[in-house]
Amino acid sequence: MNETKFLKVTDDFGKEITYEIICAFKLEKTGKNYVVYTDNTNDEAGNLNVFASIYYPQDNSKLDSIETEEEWQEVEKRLKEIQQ
Amino acid sequence: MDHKEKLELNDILIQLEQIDYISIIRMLSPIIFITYYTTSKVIDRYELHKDFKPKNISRVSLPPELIQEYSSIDIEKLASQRFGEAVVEFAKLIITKFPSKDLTNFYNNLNELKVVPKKFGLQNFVMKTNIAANYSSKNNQIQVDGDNYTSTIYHELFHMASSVYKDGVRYSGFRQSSLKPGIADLGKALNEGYTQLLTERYFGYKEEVRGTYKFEVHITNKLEKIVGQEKMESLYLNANLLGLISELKGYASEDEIMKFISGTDFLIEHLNDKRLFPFEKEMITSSLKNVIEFLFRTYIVKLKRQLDIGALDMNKFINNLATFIWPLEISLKCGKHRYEILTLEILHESLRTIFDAPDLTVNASETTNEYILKDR
Repeated sequence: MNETKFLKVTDDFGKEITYEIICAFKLEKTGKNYVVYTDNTNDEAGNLNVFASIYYPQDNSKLDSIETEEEWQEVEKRLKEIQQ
Repeated sequence: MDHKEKLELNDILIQLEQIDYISIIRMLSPIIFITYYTTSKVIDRYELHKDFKPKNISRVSLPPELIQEYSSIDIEKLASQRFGEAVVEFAKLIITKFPSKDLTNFYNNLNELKVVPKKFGLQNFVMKTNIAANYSSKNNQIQVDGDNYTSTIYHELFHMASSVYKDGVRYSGFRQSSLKPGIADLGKALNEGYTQLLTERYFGYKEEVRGTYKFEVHITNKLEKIVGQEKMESLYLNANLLGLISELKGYASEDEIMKFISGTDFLIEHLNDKRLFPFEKEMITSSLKNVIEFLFRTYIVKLKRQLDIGALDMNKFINNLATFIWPLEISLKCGKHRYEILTLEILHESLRTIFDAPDLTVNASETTNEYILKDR
């Protein structure tokens, strides 16, 4: 079994929020790195709240939003694979 | 097929010849991806929040699996370099002892680290310092005395594992410094003390690494009792001085914390001064008392909170307090000077103040000190 991996975000005031990583991958077409993560909370319907961002291995000061639908579809594909 | 139809077919064939099939094939080809990590967690149902983005990000710590391009350790290359044996030994231990989420700086610095020999004799003579080794986060370079490197290299490697240089600011463990105006050099004593504490904790089986920064080790050892070992090590390796201050704000005011940190910085520069005017000795004594009193008072606040919520009974409270007090220095001898730093009056006053206080809640929402750089 894989060791659980965490993404830790520190804000401008030094407060740390730790998220559990679900998966991380790089798309060759876009050249971008994507991380899919959760704060392990559930919404009202009992679904696990899941988020995704673009990360930069060389720059540990930012996470960017995913903007194209094609990239979101790739994220959803990875999530579907994990569900199976 | 009539003439008209032939013409149309011809047109189509000509058009087909002009199409860039390679581009089309590229567009149709499946998106290739490289998987860095996939959880083994079972996810039944999920809701993907596309509009979510963490706010006010200062730092993102990622496990090495996600930064593979920068994290694969080239052991052969490291081992083949001068002092490589010590570097490889350090790397192997660090990976074993600390969670990957705290090793971003370590992985980012390790492969390109340079360790070079240097004689510090002339520099120490001119600058009146006593340096035996150093680490530059800007150049990612350690300088050690080649004849006696084992006593200092592990300490410097901890600096390497906890440092990042960004936008002209050095973040190293619990210290931040810069030549930029408006950014204070803060946390040197806590950083050196905790670096040495970790060096002795993990490499203390080597007798030669022990014995430096004794006072600073003592102070950070007490601080760790307040913050907790796991949290303190994590904050250190992530070079998160702000996070340390934020933790302490749960038990003390920001003003008290800043006085404590700057007090330790004053002491690391002057505690070992040999020639002192009476007023200078008085300043050192006063700083020592403030630093020790802060640690003592902050720890009592922590214990009192645990007592109030039933996490501790009175016996454990007294035992923990006694364990904390016992190794605190009553007096400190530096060179020919002796300083009285912990008196019964301080102990009584701290206990009385805290137990008489109607509400121990510290306002954690106080404004962050402007001397600390926020924009990282």
